[in-house]
Amino acid sequence: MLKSKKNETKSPAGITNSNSIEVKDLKKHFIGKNRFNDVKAVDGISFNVKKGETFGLLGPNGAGKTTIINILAGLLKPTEGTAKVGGYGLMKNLNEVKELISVCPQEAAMYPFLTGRENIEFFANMHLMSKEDINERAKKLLDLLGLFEASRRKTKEYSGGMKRQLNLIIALINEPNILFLDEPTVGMDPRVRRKTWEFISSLDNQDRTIILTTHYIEEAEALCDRVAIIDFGKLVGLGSPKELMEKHDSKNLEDVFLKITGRKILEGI
Amino acid sequence: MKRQRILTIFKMEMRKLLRTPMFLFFSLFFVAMLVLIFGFALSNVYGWGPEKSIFEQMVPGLFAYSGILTIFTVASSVLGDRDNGVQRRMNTTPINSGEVMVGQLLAYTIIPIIQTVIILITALLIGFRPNISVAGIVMVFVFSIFLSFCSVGLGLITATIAKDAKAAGGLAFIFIVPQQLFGSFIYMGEAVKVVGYAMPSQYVTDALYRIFYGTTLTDVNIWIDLLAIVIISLIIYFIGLKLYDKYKNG
Repeated sequence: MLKSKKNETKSPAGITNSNSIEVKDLKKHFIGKNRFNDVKAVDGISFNVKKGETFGLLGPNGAGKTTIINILAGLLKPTEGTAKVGGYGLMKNLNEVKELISVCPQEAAMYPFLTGRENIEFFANMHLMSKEDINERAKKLLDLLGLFEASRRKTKEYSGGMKRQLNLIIALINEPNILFLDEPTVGMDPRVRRKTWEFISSLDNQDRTIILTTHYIEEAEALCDRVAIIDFGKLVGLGSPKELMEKHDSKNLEDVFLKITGRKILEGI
Repeated sequence: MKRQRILTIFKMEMRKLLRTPMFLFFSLFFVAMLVLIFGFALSNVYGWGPEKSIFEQMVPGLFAYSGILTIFTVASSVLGDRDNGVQRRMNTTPINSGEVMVGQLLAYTIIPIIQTVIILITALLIGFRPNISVAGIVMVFVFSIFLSFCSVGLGLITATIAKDAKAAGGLAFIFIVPQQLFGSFIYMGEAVKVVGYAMPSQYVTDALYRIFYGTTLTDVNIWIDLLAIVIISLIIYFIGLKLYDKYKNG
């Protein structure tokens, strides 16, 4: 599925800019107890994400994908480099950035003693949504993912797949301009994964930027307008799946990754 | 500061307490159970002095003890939030640490009030008859609330040291046991009394003893105890908050 968009809309900051995210020479180094344990999780990465684009960060586990998301969501400070989200610099305007974004983390981050519905309300209230908006939006999202009935139960009773789906609903409740999905379908069975892909694809119809990390090749091919291939903290490929496949004369992104890095993407997992 | 966010944090904290059996038991019923046991066993035993039974002498310390146990529930609870990723998720939302702090303090104002009511009713049912005024009862609640704030701070410090929620449960006793031994319901003798003044709970136990047994609120010692616990609580709470703020992303 190939999509190409180039929107020239006004950002919430009032800045006319076609990029939702601008990353320049981003580095994140974790210092270990000795120099052998130092980790260059992100090592000089630059890329832009256009408004309304679904942008994939593809790479094996430990490649640095989640670190990039954590920096862009304001959870980590970069060692070097700059990043702008929604036109706002992360260092200077983190509060404004947080108004625009939502993060669906890898782990099912929710309170086990609250019901699905209460978890949704909790995070919606963090964004100061009105009760009417919360009710309307929660019902719509719960219906779409078939979780409406289960939303009255405490989440500690949910299966792993249900938790992952609720994780996604929580991330969408505030209708974010920029949505970070960190391995959104990991741990889901193939049927639920397929359903979740359809759901994520349907979000693409709206004017929302999605940054998706994954090590599932099919996921990146099915959902992303463009992908950045990351390995050992470095950007080794950037473009639409079709462009990358043509450029490297490959049948799929797995082949592209193999040709660029000399190893299979799953070897890193 | 947005009221909607503060109330959401408050409601979540209250639900956490009421829906987590371990927290519910330790926060509200454990000390009431001790009151029942000691009440039955020691109401007519006068080993610590001729004027009051051992149970009567223990009651003020038991109120303080219930506040001390808050250290355990806070440490386990905040590390549980960190371990399951909720804390990180909250950090990606626009809520600020001031709103979290006020919501949390609101919850830990209500919880000691409920604790105090439950312990007081249990003690009265078993025959405890304090010589106390209405203003004195209000002061009991005030002392309980400030001890609760202090325990929240110590709970946050524990959460900073501990690696996970299970470890926090054990580590919390570093702060609980000394206060239990030297500043609550256990009489350790005059020789070690001075050690008690290093324990926040000692100021509460001391003041409640006076309040329960007829000392009027004009007694300056009660106000010195109050001043001490207010200062200690605020210092420890802010140290805990600052330390935990650094480590909460884990």
